Amino acid sequence: MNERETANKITTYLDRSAAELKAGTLYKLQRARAAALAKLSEPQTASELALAGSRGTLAPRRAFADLRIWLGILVIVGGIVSYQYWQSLQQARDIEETDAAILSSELPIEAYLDRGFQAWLKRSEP
Amino acid sequence: MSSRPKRTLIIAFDHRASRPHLASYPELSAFLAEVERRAFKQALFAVRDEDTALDVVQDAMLKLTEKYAGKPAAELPMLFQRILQNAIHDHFRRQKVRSTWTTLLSALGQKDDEEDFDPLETLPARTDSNWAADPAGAHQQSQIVALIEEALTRLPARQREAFLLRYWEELDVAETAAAMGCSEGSVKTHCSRAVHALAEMLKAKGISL
Repeated sequence: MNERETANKITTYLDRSAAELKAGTLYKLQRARAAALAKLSEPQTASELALAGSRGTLAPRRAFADLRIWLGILVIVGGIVSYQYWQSLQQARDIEETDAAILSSELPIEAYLDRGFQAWLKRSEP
Repeated sequence: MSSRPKRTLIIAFDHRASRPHLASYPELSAFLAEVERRAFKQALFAVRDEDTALDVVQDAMLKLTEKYAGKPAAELPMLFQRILQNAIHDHFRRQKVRSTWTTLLSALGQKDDEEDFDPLETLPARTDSNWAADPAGAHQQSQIVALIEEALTRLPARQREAFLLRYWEELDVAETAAAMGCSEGSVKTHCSRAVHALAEMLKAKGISL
Protein backbone atom coordinates (compact mmCIF):
# COMPACT_ATOMS: atom_id res chain seq x y z
CA MET A 1 0.00 0.00 0.00
CA ASN A 2 1.46 3.35 -0.95
CA GLU A 3 1.51 6.54 1.09
CA ARG A 4 -1.57 8.06 -0.53
CA GLU A 5 -3.68 4.92 -0.01
CA THR A 6 -2.69 4.64 3.64
CA ALA A 7 -3.45 8.32 4.15
CA ASN A 8 -6.85 7.95 2.46
CA LYS A 9 -7.80 5.03 4.69
CA ILE A 10 -6.82 6.98 7.79
CA THR A 11 -8.72 10.08 6.70
CA THR A 12 -11.81 7.97 5.99
CA TYR A 13 -11.81 6.99 9.65
CA LEU A 14 -11.25 10.62 10.60
CA ASP A 15 -14.27 11.62 8.46
CA ARG A 16 -16.40 9.14 10.37
CA SER A 17 -15.12 10.50 13.64
CA ALA A 18 -15.91 14.08 12.57
CA ALA A 19 -19.40 13.00 11.49
CA GLU A 20 -20.05 11.60 14.97
CA LEU A 21 -19.27 14.71 17.00
CA LYS A 22 -21.31 15.18 20.14
CA ALA A 23 -24.49 17.24 19.83
CA GLY A 24 -23.20 19.74 22.40
CA THR A 25 -19.99 20.26 20.46
CA LEU A 26 -21.89 20.72 17.21
CA TYR A 27 -24.14 23.27 18.85
CA LYS A 28 -21.14 25.21 20.14
CA LEU A 29 -19.52 25.11 16.71
CA GLN A 30 -22.76 26.38 15.19
CA ARG A 31 -22.80 29.26 17.70
CA ALA A 32 -19.16 30.06 16.95
CA ARG A 33 -19.97 30.17 13.25
CA ALA A 34 -22.98 32.41 13.84
CA ALA A 35 -20.85 34.76 15.97
CA ALA A 36 -18.22 34.93 13.24
CA LEU A 37 -20.79 35.58 10.53
CA ALA A 38 -22.51 38.20 12.68
CA LYS A 39 -19.36 40.31 12.18
CA LEU A 40 -20.19 40.26 8.54
CA SER A 41 -23.73 41.39 7.99
CA GLU A 42 -25.13 41.27 4.45
CA PRO A 43 -24.97 45.00 3.57
CA GLN A 44 -21.50 45.32 5.01
CA THR A 45 -20.40 42.34 2.95
CA ALA A 46 -21.69 43.88 -0.23
CA SER A 47 -19.93 47.18 0.38
CA GLU A 48 -16.70 45.49 1.40
CA LEU A 49 -16.77 43.23 -1.61
CA ALA A 50 -17.40 46.18 -3.89
CA LEU A 51 -14.36 47.93 -2.46
CA ALA A 52 -12.19 44.85 -2.08
CA GLY A 53 -8.72 45.45 -3.42
CA SER A 54 -9.09 49.22 -3.32
CA ARG A 55 -8.34 51.44 -0.38
CA GLY A 56 -12.02 52.06 0.20
CA THR A 57 -12.40 50.15 3.46
CA LEU A 58 -8.83 50.19 4.62
CA ALA A 59 -7.99 53.87 4.13
CA PRO A 60 -10.00 55.32 7.09
CA ARG A 61 -8.63 52.69 9.46
CA ARG A 62 -5.08 53.28 8.24
CA ALA A 63 -5.46 57.05 8.52
CA PHE A 64 -6.76 56.62 12.06
CA ALA A 65 -3.82 54.38 12.93
CA ASP A 66 -1.41 56.96 11.43
CA LEU A 67 -3.08 59.71 13.47
CA ARG A 68 -2.57 57.71 16.65
CA ILE A 69 1.11 57.21 15.84
CA TRP A 70 1.61 60.93 15.16
CA LEU A 71 -0.23 61.85 18.35
CA GLY A 72 2.04 59.50 20.29
CA ILE A 73 5.16 61.04 18.74
CA LEU A 74 3.81 64.54 19.50
CA VAL A 75 3.25 63.64 23.15
CA ILE A 76 6.76 62.21 23.49
CA VAL A 77 8.42 65.24 21.84
CA GLY A 78 6.30 67.61 23.96
CA GLY A 79 7.37 65.73 27.08
CA ILE A 80 11.07 65.97 26.21
CA VAL A 81 10.85 69.72 25.47
CA SER A 82 8.95 70.39 28.71
CA TYR A 83 11.48 68.42 30.74
CA GLN A 84 14.42 70.32 29.24
CA TYR A 85 12.71 73.67 29.88
CA TRP A 86 12.01 72.68 33.48
CA GLN A 87 15.64 71.56 33.89
CA SER A 88 17.00 74.90 32.59
CA LEU A 89 14.65 76.82 34.94
CA GLN A 90 15.85 74.70 37.86
CA GLN A 91 19.53 75.36 37.00
CA ALA A 92 18.90 79.12 36.74
CA ARG A 93 17.15 79.06 40.13
CA ASP A 94 20.08 77.18 41.73
CA ILE A 95 22.57 79.72 40.32
CA GLU A 96 20.40 82.58 41.57
CA GLU A 97 20.31 81.12 45.07
CA THR A 98 24.09 80.61 45.12
CA ASP A 99 24.69 84.17 43.88
CA ALA A 100 22.27 85.58 46.44
CA ALA A 101 23.94 83.62 49.24
CA ILE A 102 27.40 84.83 48.23
CA LEU A 103 26.33 88.44 47.82
CA SER A 104 24.39 88.55 51.06
CA SER A 105 27.23 86.90 53.00
CA GLU A 106 29.41 89.05 55.31
CA LEU A 107 32.50 87.45 53.85
CA PRO A 108 34.15 89.24 50.93
CA ILE A 109 34.03 87.33 47.63
CA GLU A 110 37.85 87.22 47.56
CA ALA A 111 37.76 84.99 50.64
CA TYR A 112 36.33 82.16 48.55
CA LEU A 113 39.36 82.39 46.24
CA ASP A 114 41.79 82.02 49.15
CA ARG A 115 43.10 78.44 49.35
CA GLY A 116 43.84 78.75 53.03
CA PHE A 117 40.24 79.75 53.73
CA GLN A 118 38.95 76.77 51.70
CA ALA A 119 41.28 74.44 53.61
CA TRP A 120 40.01 75.88 56.91
CA LEU A 121 36.38 75.39 55.73
CA LYS A 122 37.07 71.74 54.92
CA ARG A 123 38.75 71.14 58.28
CA SER A 124 35.93 72.82 60.19
CA GLU A 125 33.22 70.74 58.46
CA PRO A 126 31.62 68.30 60.91
CA MET B 1 -11.94 4.16 -2.52
CA SER B 2 -14.66 6.70 -3.20
CA SER B 3 -13.51 10.29 -3.42
CA ARG B 4 -14.79 12.43 -0.59
CA PRO B 5 -17.07 15.34 -1.50
CA LYS B 6 -15.66 17.86 0.97
CA ARG B 7 -14.01 20.16 -1.57
CA THR B 8 -16.78 20.05 -4.15
CA LEU B 9 -18.06 23.37 -2.89
CA ILE B 10 -14.75 25.11 -3.40
CA ILE B 11 -14.12 23.53 -6.78
CA ALA B 12 -17.54 24.76 -7.89
CA PHE B 13 -16.47 28.28 -6.93
CA ASP B 14 -13.41 28.00 -9.16
CA HIS B 15 -15.41 27.07 -12.21
CA ARG B 16 -18.01 29.76 -11.86
CA ALA B 17 -15.95 32.61 -13.26
CA SER B 18 -12.68 33.07 -15.02
CA ARG B 19 -11.57 35.96 -12.80
CA PRO B 20 -11.21 35.57 -9.00
CA HIS B 21 -14.65 35.10 -7.50
CA LEU B 22 -14.96 36.95 -4.19
CA ALA B 23 -16.62 35.13 -1.33
CA SER B 24 -20.17 36.21 -0.55
CA TYR B 25 -21.98 35.87 2.77
CA PRO B 26 -23.74 32.58 1.85
CA GLU B 27 -20.49 31.16 0.49
CA LEU B 28 -18.60 32.08 3.64
CA SER B 29 -21.36 30.58 5.72
CA ALA B 30 -21.37 27.38 3.67
CA PHE B 31 -17.59 27.18 3.79
CA LEU B 32 -17.47 27.52 7.57
CA ALA B 33 -20.27 24.99 8.03
CA GLU B 34 -18.41 22.56 5.83
CA VAL B 35 -15.03 22.95 7.49
CA GLU B 36 -15.95 23.46 11.16
CA ARG B 37 -16.03 19.80 12.26
CA ARG B 38 -12.64 19.01 10.80
CA ALA B 39 -11.25 22.27 12.15
CA PHE B 40 -12.45 21.34 15.61
CA LYS B 41 -10.88 17.90 15.34
CA GLN B 42 -7.62 19.38 14.10
CA ALA B 43 -7.52 21.79 17.01
CA LEU B 44 -8.43 18.97 19.41
CA PHE B 45 -5.57 16.77 18.17
CA ALA B 46 -3.21 19.65 18.90
CA VAL B 47 -4.51 21.13 22.17
CA ARG B 48 -6.19 17.97 23.57
CA ASP B 49 -8.97 19.89 25.30
CA GLU B 50 -12.44 20.29 23.82
CA ASP B 51 -13.20 23.75 25.23
CA THR B 52 -9.82 25.10 24.16
CA ALA B 53 -10.27 23.55 20.72
CA LEU B 54 -13.67 25.25 20.40
CA ASP B 55 -12.11 28.59 21.40
CA VAL B 56 -9.36 28.14 18.83
CA VAL B 57 -11.86 27.35 16.07
CA GLN B 58 -14.04 30.32 17.03
CA ASP B 59 -11.01 32.63 16.96
CA ALA B 60 -10.07 31.33 13.53
CA MET B 61 -13.60 31.81 12.21
CA LEU B 62 -13.76 35.36 13.58
CA LYS B 63 -10.42 36.29 12.04
CA LEU B 64 -11.47 34.86 8.69
CA THR B 65 -14.72 36.84 8.56
CA GLU B 66 -13.19 40.02 10.01
CA LYS B 67 -10.06 40.22 7.89
CA TYR B 68 -10.37 38.01 4.85
CA ALA B 69 -14.04 38.19 3.87
CA GLY B 70 -13.16 40.08 0.71
CA LYS B 71 -10.80 37.40 -0.56
CA PRO B 72 -11.60 35.11 -3.49
CA ALA B 73 -13.65 32.07 -2.45
CA ALA B 74 -11.02 29.71 -3.81
CA GLU B 75 -8.48 31.07 -1.34
CA LEU B 76 -10.67 30.50 1.71
CA PRO B 77 -9.52 26.92 2.52
CA MET B 78 -5.83 27.83 2.53
CA LEU B 79 -6.44 31.10 4.40
CA PHE B 80 -8.62 29.45 7.01
CA GLN B 81 -6.13 26.67 7.58
CA ARG B 82 -3.34 29.19 7.96
CA ILE B 83 -5.38 31.17 10.47
CA LEU B 84 -6.30 27.97 12.33
CA GLN B 85 -2.69 26.82 12.57
CA ASN B 86 -1.65 30.27 13.80
CA ALA B 87 -4.45 30.20 16.39
CA ILE B 88 -3.18 26.83 17.64
CA HIS B 89 0.39 28.12 17.80
CA ASP B 90 -0.80 31.26 19.62
CA HIS B 91 -2.54 29.06 22.17
CA PHE B 92 0.69 27.19 22.88
CA ARG B 93 2.64 30.45 23.06
CA ARG B 94 0.21 31.85 25.63
CA GLN B 95 0.27 28.58 27.55
CA LYS B 96 4.07 28.69 27.69
CA VAL B 97 4.05 32.20 29.11
CA ARG B 98 1.56 31.38 31.86
CA SER B 99 3.00 31.06 35.33
CA THR B 100 2.43 28.42 37.98
CA TRP B 101 -0.54 30.14 39.60
CA THR B 102 -2.40 30.14 36.29
CA THR B 103 -1.89 26.39 36.04
CA LEU B 104 -3.31 26.06 39.53
CA LEU B 105 -6.36 28.14 38.59
CA SER B 106 -6.96 26.11 35.44
CA ALA B 107 -6.84 22.94 37.53
CA LEU B 108 -9.54 24.41 39.76
CA GLY B 109 -11.45 25.42 36.64
CA GLN B 110 -11.49 21.81 35.46
CA LYS B 111 -13.27 20.81 38.65
CA ASP B 112 -15.93 23.40 37.86
CA ASP B 113 -16.29 21.91 34.42
CA GLU B 114 -16.94 18.52 35.95
CA GLU B 115 -19.69 20.05 38.06
CA ASP B 116 -21.24 21.58 34.94
CA PHE B 117 -21.13 18.22 33.17
CA ASP B 118 -24.23 17.72 31.07
CA PRO B 119 -24.81 14.10 29.98
CA LEU B 120 -26.97 15.31 27.08
CA GLU B 121 -23.91 16.90 25.55
CA THR B 122 -22.21 13.51 25.26
CA LEU B 123 -24.91 12.14 22.97
CA PRO B 124 -23.67 11.70 19.42
CA ALA B 125 -25.26 13.94 16.83
CA ARG B 126 -27.74 12.38 14.44
CA THR B 127 -26.14 11.33 11.23
CA ASP B 128 -27.32 9.76 8.01
CA SER B 129 -24.32 7.47 7.75
CA ASN B 130 -24.95 3.79 8.39
CA TRP B 131 -21.41 2.77 9.18
CA ALA B 132 -22.44 2.05 12.74
CA ALA B 133 -25.36 -0.21 11.80
CA ASP B 134 -23.61 -3.38 12.98
CA PRO B 135 -22.92 -3.06 16.75
CA ALA B 136 -19.83 -5.31 16.75
CA GLY B 137 -18.50 -3.63 13.65
CA ALA B 138 -19.32 -0.23 15.08
CA HIS B 139 -17.39 -1.04 18.24
CA GLN B 140 -14.39 -2.17 16.24
CA GLN B 141 -14.59 0.92 14.05
CA SER B 142 -14.79 3.22 17.04
CA GLN B 143 -11.76 1.48 18.55
CA ILE B 144 -9.80 2.00 15.34
CA VAL B 145 -10.88 5.64 15.23
CA ALA B 146 -9.77 6.11 18.84
CA LEU B 147 -6.39 4.52 18.09
CA ILE B 148 -5.92 6.65 14.97
CA GLU B 149 -6.78 9.80 16.91
CA GLU B 150 -4.42 8.84 19.72
CA ALA B 151 -1.67 8.14 17.19
CA LEU B 152 -2.31 11.55 15.61
CA THR B 153 -1.95 13.32 18.95
CA ARG B 154 1.37 11.54 19.46
CA LEU B 155 2.78 12.69 16.12
CA PRO B 156 5.20 15.63 16.11
CA ALA B 157 3.16 18.81 15.63
CA ARG B 158 4.53 19.71 12.18
CA GLN B 159 4.00 16.18 10.85
CA ARG B 160 0.43 16.18 12.17
CA GLU B 161 -0.26 19.59 10.59
CA ALA B 162 1.15 18.51 7.24
CA PHE B 163 -0.76 15.22 7.25
CA LEU B 164 -4.10 16.80 8.17
CA LEU B 165 -3.78 19.70 5.75
CA ARG B 166 -2.52 17.65 2.85
CA TYR B 167 -4.63 14.52 3.15
CA TRP B 168 -7.66 15.43 5.27
CA GLU B 169 -8.24 18.97 4.07
CA GLU B 170 -7.02 17.93 0.63
CA LEU B 171 -4.92 21.04 0.08
CA ASP B 172 -2.26 20.64 -2.56
CA VAL B 173 1.43 20.75 -1.65
CA ALA B 174 1.77 24.47 -2.44
CA GLU B 175 -1.31 25.40 -0.41
CA THR B 176 -0.16 23.23 2.49
CA ALA B 177 3.26 24.89 2.38
CA ALA B 178 1.61 28.33 2.37
CA ALA B 179 -0.67 27.40 5.28
CA MET B 180 2.24 25.99 7.29
CA GLY B 181 4.71 28.71 6.33
CA CYS B 182 7.35 26.27 5.09
CA SER B 183 8.75 24.96 1.82
CA GLU B 184 7.00 22.42 -0.39
CA GLY B 185 9.88 20.02 0.19
CA SER B 186 9.29 20.20 3.93
CA VAL B 187 5.60 19.44 3.40
CA LYS B 188 6.43 16.31 1.42
CA THR B 189 8.94 15.17 4.04
CA HIS B 190 6.53 15.82 6.93
CA CYS B 191 3.68 14.02 5.13
CA SER B 192 5.78 10.99 4.29
CA ARG B 193 7.10 10.70 7.82
CA ALA B 194 3.63 11.20 9.29
CA VAL B 195 2.05 8.46 7.18
CA HIS B 196 4.83 6.01 7.99
CA ALA B 197 4.75 6.87 11.69
CA LEU B 198 0.94 6.47 11.81
CA ALA B 199 1.10 3.14 9.97
CA GLU B 200 3.79 1.91 12.35
CA MET B 201 1.90 3.04 15.45
CA LEU B 202 -1.30 1.35 14.25
CA LYS B 203 0.59 -1.79 13.24
CA ALA B 204 2.03 -1.95 16.75
CA LYS B 205 -1.56 -1.96 18.05
CA GLY B 206 -2.42 -4.83 15.72
CA ILE B 207 -4.28 -2.75 13.13
CA SER B 208 -3.51 -3.14 9.48
CA LEU B 209 -5.25 -0.63 7.25
